[in-house]
Amino acid sequence: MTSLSRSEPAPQSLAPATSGGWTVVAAQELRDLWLSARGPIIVLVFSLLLSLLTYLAATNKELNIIDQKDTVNLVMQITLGIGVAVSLLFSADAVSGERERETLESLLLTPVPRRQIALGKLLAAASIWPVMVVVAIPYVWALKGGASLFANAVVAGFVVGSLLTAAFGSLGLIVSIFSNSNRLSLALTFFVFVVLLAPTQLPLSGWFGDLIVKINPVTAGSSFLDNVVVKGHGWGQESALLLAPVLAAIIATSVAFLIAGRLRLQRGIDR
Amino acid sequence: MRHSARLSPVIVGVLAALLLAVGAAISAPAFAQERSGQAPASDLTISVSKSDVSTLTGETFTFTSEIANSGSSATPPLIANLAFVAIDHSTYVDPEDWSPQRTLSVAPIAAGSSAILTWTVKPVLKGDVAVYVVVLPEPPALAGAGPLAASPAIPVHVEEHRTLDPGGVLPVVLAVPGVLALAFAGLRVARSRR
Repeated sequence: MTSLSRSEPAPQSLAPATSGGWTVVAAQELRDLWLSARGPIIVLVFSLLLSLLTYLAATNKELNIIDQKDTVNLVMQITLGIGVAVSLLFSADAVSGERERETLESLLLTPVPRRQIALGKLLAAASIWPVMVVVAIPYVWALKGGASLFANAVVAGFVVGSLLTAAFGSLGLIVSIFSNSNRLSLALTFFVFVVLLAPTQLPLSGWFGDLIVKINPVTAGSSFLDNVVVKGHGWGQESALLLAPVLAAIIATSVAFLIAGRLRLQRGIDR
Repeated sequence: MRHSARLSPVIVGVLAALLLAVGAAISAPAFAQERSGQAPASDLTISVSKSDVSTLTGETFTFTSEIANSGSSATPPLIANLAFVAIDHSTYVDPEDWSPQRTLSVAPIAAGSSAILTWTVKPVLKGDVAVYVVVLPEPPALAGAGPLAASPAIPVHVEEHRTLDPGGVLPVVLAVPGVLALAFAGLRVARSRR
C-alpha cells in the first residue's frame, strides 16, 4: 500500500529518509491501515465478538458456572489468536500486495534501504496486536476474579502475543517477498498458522504431546498463558514454555530482515 | 403301584438335589464363578465419606469411597464408576459435565483389605441429584457377573450460583463496540471534511 512517491516526492525530504526511512514507511502504512476502513472494521468486529462472548458467559446458565479464571483465559486466548492471525495477514500482503497493485516499483525507487521498508511494513502490520489488547482490557476487567488475575492475564497475554506477532508477522513478510500473488502468500501463511494452532485444540499427552507443546510456538505460548492465568503458576516455573515463542520471534525476524535486504521487483531475492 | 411308591422317594430326592445344584449355580456370585478363588461381589462393601451434600452450581466438592473386601480371597481387577441420578425428576444430568473422571481402575484387593478412591464432582445445574459408586469386575470376570456392588447414594442438593452478574458486564458489552464505532466514524468524518 505504501507509495512514498505519493507523499514524499521532494528531493530535500529524501535525504533524511535513508537514516530513518522506516519511520516514514511505517507512518504511511499506519495511515493506510487505520485511516482506511480495514483496521477499524476488524477491531470493531473483534470487540463485537468479545461482547458476545462476555454476555454469553454472564447470562448462559452453563457457561456462567465456568471459573472466572477460565473465562479470562478464554478472552485472552481469543485475543491472541485473532491478533496474531490479523497481523500475519497484513504482513503477508506487505510485498506481494504491492507487487499485485504494481506499486512496488515506486516504493523500491525511493532512497530508503530495503530492510527499512520491510521494518516499516512489519511494524505497521504488528500495530493491530496492541490495539486488540487495549480493546480486550475492559472485557478482562469485567470478567476478572481479582486484581492479580487481571494483571497476570493482560501482561502474560501481551508478552506471548508480542512474541508470536513478531514471529508470524516476519513469516508473512518472508512468504510475501517470495510471492507474486497476494492470494498465494495469504493462503500459505494462514495455512501454516492454522496448522500450528490446531494442536492447541487437541488432547496432547505423553512424551510426544509434551514435545509438540514445547517446540510449537503457538501451543507453547497458549500453554504458558493457560498455566499462568488458570493454574496460577509463576512465570519462572513456566519459563521453559516461552523458549519456543522467543526463538521463533528471533529466527523469523532475522531471516525476514536478511531476505528483505535483497528484495527485488519480481518475486524472490537478488543473488 | 407298589413299585412306583418305592421309586417316588428316590425321584423326589434326585429332583431336590438337582434343584439345589441349579439354585446354587444361579445364586453363586459371578466374581467367584468366573475365577475360582476370588472374592464374590457379595464380599465387597463400599462406603462413602459423605452422607449428604448441599452445594452451589460451579462449586467443586470431593468425597472418598472405600471398597472393602471382607471375603477370604482377593478380588479380580475392578472398575469403579461414579453414577448420577436426578432424584427430583427434573434436573438434566449429563455425567460428563458433572465429573471429569468417572471411571477408575482398581487393582485386585486382597482378602480383608480395602481400596480408597477419591471422586470430584462439580454440579452444573441446580436441583437434587443422587451420587453413588458402583464396582464391577474387569473382563473376563465381567462375563455373566451377578449383582454388582454399589455404595450408599449421597443426596446432593444444588442451589444456583452465578459467578458473573449479567447486569455488571452489560455496560462493557455495550460500551466498548459503541465507543469504537463512534470513534472510527468520527475519524472518517473529520478526514472527509479536510
